[in-house]
Amino acid sequence: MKKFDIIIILSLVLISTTSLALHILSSNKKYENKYAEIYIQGVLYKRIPLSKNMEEITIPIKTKLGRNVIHISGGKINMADADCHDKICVKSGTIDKIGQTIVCLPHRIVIEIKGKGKAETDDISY
Amino acid sequence: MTKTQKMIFISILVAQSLVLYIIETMIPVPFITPGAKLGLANIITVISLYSLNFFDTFFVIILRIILSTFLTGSLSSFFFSLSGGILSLLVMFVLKKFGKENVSIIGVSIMGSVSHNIGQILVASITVQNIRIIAYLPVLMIAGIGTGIFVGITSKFLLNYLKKIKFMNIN
Repeated sequence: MKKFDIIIILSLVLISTTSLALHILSSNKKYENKYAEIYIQGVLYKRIPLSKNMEEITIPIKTKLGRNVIHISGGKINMADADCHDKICVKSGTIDKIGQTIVCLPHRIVIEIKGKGKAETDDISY
Repeated sequence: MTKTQKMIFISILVAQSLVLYIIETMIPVPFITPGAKLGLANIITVISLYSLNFFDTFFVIILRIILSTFLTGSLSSFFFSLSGGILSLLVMFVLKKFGKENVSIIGVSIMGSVSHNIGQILVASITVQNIRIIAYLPVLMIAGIGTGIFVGITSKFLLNYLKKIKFMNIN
């Protein structure tokens, strides 16, 4: 270990922890309503309002790249099934906070939760 | 090092990195965040950076990525590996060149791991056309620091043995 090594480690830890903290802080903001947006190849496919007492929905998505099944219940979203080779989106688990995302890279699908209302500006969506 | 020795050394490195790449897929990694893995193949990149010149290292990386795509991945993972591999090589090369005596192999490999993550995330956010994927980067960076230290220490031990080979000039 030399001088630069310590500097590198410290600065990287600092950068990553501060940006992580900022991200967690921004996702804990209270919004009046939450909604989930599903993007396929960068194009908005569906916008679903989320609430605690909503019905269970299953959304099958079939594109020429493959098949995905999105499952939403009680305001929580998870990828129930996918036929990609790494299954990273299925392993991502359940998301329910604003700013969280589930990504299926091989099938170019992004699910993200956004918030609207109360908080003065909608700084999550752009 | 003669031309033949160099050619054989490069092919040994490529073969070793492929084996590490395959072994890596067999080791279960706790699922922290999408894309987090040990990055064992980075050991070979660091080794070749310290024992060969820039273009030979570039050659080793390109060969490894093409062959590993044939073995396991799909075309999309090819571009992620390529962007991560090339960015990490450039960063490590620059750091090694200008850090000289102030930076050890551990610091070089940490920057390699982290910039590998950065390159992959950038290409990933371009392919799905969503910049918010960058939110995964902080966690990946912390994981990258850990694996970078591990890779650096392993490469250091490995280089000690390579130094004993007559035709090798480790710099």
